[in-house]
Amino acid sequence: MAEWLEEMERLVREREKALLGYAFVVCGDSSLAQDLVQDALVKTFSRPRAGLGAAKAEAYVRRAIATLYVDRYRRQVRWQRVQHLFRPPVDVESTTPFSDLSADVATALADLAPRVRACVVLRYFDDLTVPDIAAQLGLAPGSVKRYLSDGLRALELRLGALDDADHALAGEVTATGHEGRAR
Amino acid sequence: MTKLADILRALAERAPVDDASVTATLAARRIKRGRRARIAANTTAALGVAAVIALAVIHPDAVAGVAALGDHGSAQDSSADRYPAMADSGASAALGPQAVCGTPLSAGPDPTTWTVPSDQTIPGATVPGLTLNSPTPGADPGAVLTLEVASTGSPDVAGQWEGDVTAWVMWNGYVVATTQGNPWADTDAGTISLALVNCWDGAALPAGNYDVLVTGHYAHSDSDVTDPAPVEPAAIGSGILAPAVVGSASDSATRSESEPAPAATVVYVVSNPIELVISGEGPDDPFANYLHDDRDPGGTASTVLSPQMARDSYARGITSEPWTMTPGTQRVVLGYDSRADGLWTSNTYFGCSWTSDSGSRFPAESATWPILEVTTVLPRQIEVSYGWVVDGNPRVDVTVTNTSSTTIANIWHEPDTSLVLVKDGVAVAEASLVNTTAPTAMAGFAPFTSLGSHENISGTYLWRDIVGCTPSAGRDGIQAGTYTVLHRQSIDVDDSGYIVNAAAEPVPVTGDWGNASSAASSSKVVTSAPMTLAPDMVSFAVYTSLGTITIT
Repeated sequence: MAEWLEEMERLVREREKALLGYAFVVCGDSSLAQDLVQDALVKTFSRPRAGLGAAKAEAYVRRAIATLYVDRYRRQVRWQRVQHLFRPPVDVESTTPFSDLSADVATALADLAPRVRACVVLRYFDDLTVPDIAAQLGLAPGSVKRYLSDGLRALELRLGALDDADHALAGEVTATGHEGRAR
Repeated sequence: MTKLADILRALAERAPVDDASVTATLAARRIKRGRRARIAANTTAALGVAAVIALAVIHPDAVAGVAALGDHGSAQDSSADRYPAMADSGASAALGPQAVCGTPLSAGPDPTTWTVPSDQTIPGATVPGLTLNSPTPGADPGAVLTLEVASTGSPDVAGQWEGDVTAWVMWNGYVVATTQGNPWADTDAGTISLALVNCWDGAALPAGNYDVLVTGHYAHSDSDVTDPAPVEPAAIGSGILAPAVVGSASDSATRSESEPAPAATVVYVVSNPIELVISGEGPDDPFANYLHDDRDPGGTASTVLSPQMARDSYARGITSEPWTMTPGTQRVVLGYDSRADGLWTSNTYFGCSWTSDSGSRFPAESATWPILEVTTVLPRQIEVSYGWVVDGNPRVDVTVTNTSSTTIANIWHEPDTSLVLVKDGVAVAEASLVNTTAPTAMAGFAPFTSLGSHENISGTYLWRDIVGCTPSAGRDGIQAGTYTVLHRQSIDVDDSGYIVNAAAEPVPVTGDWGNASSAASSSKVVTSAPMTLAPDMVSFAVYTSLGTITIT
C-alpha cells in the first residue's frame, strides 16, 4: 500500500472524531464538518509531501479545513445576495443535545460571521498569531485584528468575560485596544 | 472566568458529530483519479494538447441539443463583439462581487484596471481554460439547461477543482440569471442545472439572445510553484497562449517544511461566453423594470471599488502635509497592500502600540481621499475612573456614508467602533464603542454588505471605557484634559471573485478534442482565453476628526 494512503487511513482511523470535532468548531454544522474533513483529506494528500508524519498530517488537514471553510464562504457571498429570491428562509435549529456550556458556546459561535469565526478558532484553538492567520486565510492582518476584536466582543456578550480575551493580539506590533480594557 | 481556548477545545470534544464520518476510501479514490489525470495530461501535453476543462452545454433533449449546435467560430466572434473587454488584447474583464443581478460584466472605467503585473506570475504553472462546446443551444422560456462539466485532464488541476462552479447568463452585458452547482464531488465529470429564470424574482427569461459563462476555481498549492515546472508549450494547438497564474495568498518563501500547510493560491477560470437563444418573441427592453435603477443615462452601471482603483485614488490624494486634525477633516492611511510586502507596520497605523510605552504619531504619509463621511455626536465631557466612563455611558450614534461614486463591496454591516484620543499629535488612548444590540443571528443575515454610492451604514453605541496607551500606567493611564477624538474606519478592498484576464491575447482555437463525455463533445470546441484571479487586497483606515472631548 502506498505510504500516503496508509498515512491517510491511519489518520482517519485514529483521528476522525478529533478532526470532525475541529471542523464542527470551525463551521458549526455537523454535515458541513463532514464535507470539510473529506475535502481537506483530498487536498492534503493529493500531492506527495516528504516526511509527512501523523502529527504533521493532522496539522495539514486542520489548516485545510479552515481554509476550505473561509474559501467556501467567499464563494458564497455573491450567491447569498440573491439566493433569498429562490429559497424561503429556513430557521436552522440544532436538535443535538448539548451541555449548557457547549450550547452557549455553539450559539455564541453561530452568531459570528464565518471569517470572524475562523479567525477566533485559529487564534484560540490553534494558537496561531495574527500574521499566521492572515497568511492562512488570505486576509489582511488588519482585517484579522478587526475580526478578532469583533469576535471576542460578541463572544463575551454571550459567555461573559474570558480570561484570555486580552491575548487576541498578543505579540503584534499594533493594538486595537483590548489591553487594559476595563470591565 | 474561563478561557476561550479551553471552551473551544471542550466544544470540539463534545461536538455532535457522532452521525458524521469520513472515509479514506472515497478520499483515496478522488486523489488517485486526480493523479491519473495528471499523468495522462502530461502525456498528452507532449503532443501539444492543452490542459482544459471541457464544459458542454446541452439541452435536456439531447437530440435537440446536438441539432442546435452551430458554428463555433462564429460564436466566438459573436462573443467577442458582445464582450470586447474580454477579447481585446491588452484589455481585461472582471466578474466580481458586483456580478450579481443587473450588474455589468465589464467593470472599471480604465480597462487596464484589471491588467495583471508580470511580476505576479508564477513561472511554469499550468492553467486550464474552460471550454464550452455548444455555442447556440436553443431553449424555451423557463426551461432548465443542463450544464455538463467534464475534466478532460490537466497536469496540475484535475482533482484540485474546489467547490461549486457558477453559471452566469448575460443580457447585453448584464447579469440576469445565475446558478451554482458542484460537478466535482465524486468524479471528474458532472452536471449542474441552470434554470432560465431571472435572478430578481424568478420570472422566466424572455425570448432573446443571451450569453452563458461558466466560472470555476481550483487551489494551486505552493508546491506547484516550487516543484519542477511541468513542460508547458508556449502555444497550444494553433495558438492558445500559455497563461499566467497570478498572485498568491501565501508566503511560501518564509515557511519551513515543518509548518502546517500554507494557504494555496486560488486560481479562477472563466469560460468564453457562448450564445444562448431563447425562442419566441421578446420585448424590446426585456429587463427595463429590473435594470432601470442601476443604469445611468449613458447605460452603464456604477462600478465597484477594486483594489487597483483604490490604490489609484489613494495615490492621487497622497500628501506629506501634517494633519492638523481640525474637526471634520479626514485622512486616509494605507495599511496593507498585498502587492507591497511588509507594508503593515506601525508607520501605517495610528493608535496605541503594544511594544512601546507611548502612543504613535500620525503616519507621515496619508491621503486626502473623499470616500467616506463620518458623522457622530460626541459628549463634550466625560468622567473617567480607572478606564471606565463613570457617568451614564453616553450614547453615540455613528453614521458612515459612502461619498464616492463607486460601490464599496464587502464592508462590515455597521460602522467601526474604534476611537483614538490624541494629545499634541500623539495617540494617548483608544476607546471601543459598545454595541447596544445583541449580536445578530447568522440565519439569513449577511454580516458584510455592499455600500453603494451615497448609501450609509449606522449604529448606536455606548461609550463605556477608555484605554490608555501607556501600559505601565495601567487603566488609569488617561489623564484629565482635553483631547482630540478620531474615528477610525477600516476599508478592506479585495478581489474575491474578481476574474482577471491574464492572457496577453486570447486566441480562439478550434479542433476535435474528442475527450468530452457528452454527445455534444464530439463536435468542435472553442477554447477560451484562460482567465485567472489575482488574490489582490488592500486595506485602508479612514481617520476622521470628530472634535474634542474633555476628560475629567
